[in-house]
Amino acid sequence: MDIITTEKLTFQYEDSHRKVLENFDLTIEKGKFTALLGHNGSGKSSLAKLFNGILLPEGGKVYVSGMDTQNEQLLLDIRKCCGLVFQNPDNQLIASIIEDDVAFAPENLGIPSEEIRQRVDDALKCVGMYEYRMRSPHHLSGGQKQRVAIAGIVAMRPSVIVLDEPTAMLDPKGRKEVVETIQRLNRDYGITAILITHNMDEAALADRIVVIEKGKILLDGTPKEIFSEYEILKATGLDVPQITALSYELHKAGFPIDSCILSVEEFVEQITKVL
Amino acid sequence: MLKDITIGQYYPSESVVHKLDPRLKIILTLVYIVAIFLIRNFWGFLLLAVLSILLCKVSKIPVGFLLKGLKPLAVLMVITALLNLFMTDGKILWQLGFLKITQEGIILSAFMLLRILFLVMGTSFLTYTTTPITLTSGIESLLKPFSKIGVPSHEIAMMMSIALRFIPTLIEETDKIMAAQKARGAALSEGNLIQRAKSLIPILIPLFVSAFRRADELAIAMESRCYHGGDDRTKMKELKYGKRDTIALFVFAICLTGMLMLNLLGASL
Amino acid sequence: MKITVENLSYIYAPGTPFEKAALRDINFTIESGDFVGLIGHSGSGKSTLVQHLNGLVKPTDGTIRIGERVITGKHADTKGLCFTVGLVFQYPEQQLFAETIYQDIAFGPSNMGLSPAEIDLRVRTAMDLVGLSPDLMEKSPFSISGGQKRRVAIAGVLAMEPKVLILDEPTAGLDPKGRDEILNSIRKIHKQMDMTVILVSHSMEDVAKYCDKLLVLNEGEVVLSGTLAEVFHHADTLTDIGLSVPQVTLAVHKLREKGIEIAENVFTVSEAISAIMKLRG
Repeated sequence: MDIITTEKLTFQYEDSHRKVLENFDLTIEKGKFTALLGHNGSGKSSLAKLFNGILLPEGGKVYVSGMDTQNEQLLLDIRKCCGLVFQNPDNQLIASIIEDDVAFAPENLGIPSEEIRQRVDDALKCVGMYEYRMRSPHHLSGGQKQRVAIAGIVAMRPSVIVLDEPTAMLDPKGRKEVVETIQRLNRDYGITAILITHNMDEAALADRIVVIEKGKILLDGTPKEIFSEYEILKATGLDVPQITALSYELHKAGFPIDSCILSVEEFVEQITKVL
Repeated sequence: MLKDITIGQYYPSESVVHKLDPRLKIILTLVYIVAIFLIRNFWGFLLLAVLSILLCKVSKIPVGFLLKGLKPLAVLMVITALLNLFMTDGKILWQLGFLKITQEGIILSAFMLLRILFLVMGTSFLTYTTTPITLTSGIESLLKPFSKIGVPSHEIAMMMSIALRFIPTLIEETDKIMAAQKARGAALSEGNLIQRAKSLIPILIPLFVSAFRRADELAIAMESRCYHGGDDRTKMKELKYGKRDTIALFVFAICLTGMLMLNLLGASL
Repeated sequence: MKITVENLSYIYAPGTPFEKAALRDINFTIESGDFVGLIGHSGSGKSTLVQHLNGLVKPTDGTIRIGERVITGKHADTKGLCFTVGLVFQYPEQQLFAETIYQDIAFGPSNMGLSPAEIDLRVRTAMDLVGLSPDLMEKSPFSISGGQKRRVAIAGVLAMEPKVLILDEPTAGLDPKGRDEILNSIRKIHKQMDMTVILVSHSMEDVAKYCDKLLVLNEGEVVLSGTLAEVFHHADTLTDIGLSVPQVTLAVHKLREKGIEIAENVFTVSEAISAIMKLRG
């Protein structure tokens, strides 16, 4: 089943002549972990905001769980269903105490106090930040703040969680924490995850990668399929993991190994056989 | 560093004082502020000092932490004390040119110093023992009756809690921008007044730009989390006025009466 | 310019509940002309350390020498130090403030008290070094793209013509293309201007590609230092503190463990290709 569908979606900002997205058709399958890949200015961040009705299409449609984002009456339901996490964790936490911040969305939804308490505790446990519930955001590391931001979305009990470059401002440890949290949400809680990123190592963990370039879909497939399009990715200015680049180049030079290897272990195994 | 300011910070602990109804705490703090100005002699301050230490114990706030909050106000306090010391007429104890110290001056400046001291410490108790968000929901709830006459109680509370949330962030940011401009040779504390004012431009402009960007991103994040004003909003932490609040109210009333009674011991001013 | 750091310690907010030893007994030497990568997690003390090197932060204990100058202790000579040791902060575009790009880049040189002609020359040279077109000079620094803003900010430090250039995570938040462009500019600047460069980063792939030497910091202490080969040799130590070695280096280590006689010092994809090609003869 599809949870998000865009039909001939066209969008541009008022102060610009360039179309950010043009006739953009994309469907996101429920329960899957999808990575949207593209470099800065490719239109991927606008897409995130189109998914939950923060931005509205200029042409075409966006449906979230069957709801048209242009229907104002459904706006709260759409936002409840499709939660957004942004790049800068500092600019999305609104309360000075972690648990109060996580409670923000359920409070907006008018949920009874006892249930909010329950949801907040669940959400914080789910991202592994329960012990920190009474702390202030500015005493946390970037990765921890971002996990709190995710908890703030999880507390809405959404079907989809869209993360717009959630790791861009984090160090490797923070990145790992956040990515593992996303994977857990997807695997254990069945939440559809859409990760917008330009980090290839993170995208490699998804079920499906969609590469966006100049407002259009350039590639769409499993990580393996995408990374085997080494030349296209390179021309677009995107990276592939070192080991994938190495296997591609060696394959091209006539080594009988796969052209697209994603892990060091697999590479070592294949190359030992032919050396 | 700017980060060291403790005024307005919350001191996490599980004490009885922390659990009191914020509305009660706000009202009592207001009464307390008025009461300080009613104290007429040093006995009153002595009692206040004893009560403050007791309150520290009960609320599990280290006395040192409370005193540290006074540091940023040291300059203000010294100026007030000096002004009162030299500007009060009365029995002259020492004189040099136009500067004179009088007996009344000494007493008055000590009095003023104590007033500021207890004013800051007392009100700090409110912020140390109440999370900013509880504090704002207290204010929101106290202002609610006025919303009929057009006071936007929810909006005021929301603005306050956002301001509180972002103060540490913006302070950190100011520190960082200052360091970065210093790294380009900016002279921040040299020259005359005009030069100093000018040297603030490289700090203020980036700070404003960043504050606007943050505001913009925050607004989008809030909308994404289904924020749509104060209507139909619930609260995780409902304010409940309970038995312990009544007890606290009585304790406060007794202390207040005691303090005012001490005025009878001899009015020094 | 040579940098010597001896027994450097820094305690943050001493005497308060927030007291923390941010740096502990740091010792290292950076030779003139080195391109050094400074690696560590957020909170490892990297940013505090680099702010010591241009005198913004005073150490609690220890000695720092920049060239012949001792910049610590009672008789510290820190006047104009920030012009000798240029420091580009994290997200430097957030410190842009002037009306035009030209004025912003000229801020550092004018604080040095240089003549207008000299300032003009330096601004133009700096813009050229970071790859900014001269047409942008009169534009507002707030009207250009994020990547360009960062170049302007870097040019603002370059225009002071420092002998040592320190960049605190200059690629944070950039996409791969933006990252490569910035790092290639830095490499060019290092060669052309004969500067000592310290690159603070948490990307092993990046430092492996651009730096000659590495300094690894963890919880305020230097855990590893030396050439790329010397540091990456300790893959286990790096993994223990949550850092990694580049994937290709790891692959080569694993191959050697299996008894395959492959060249050991492999840090980039192209080095790995030639090492494997050599095996095949």
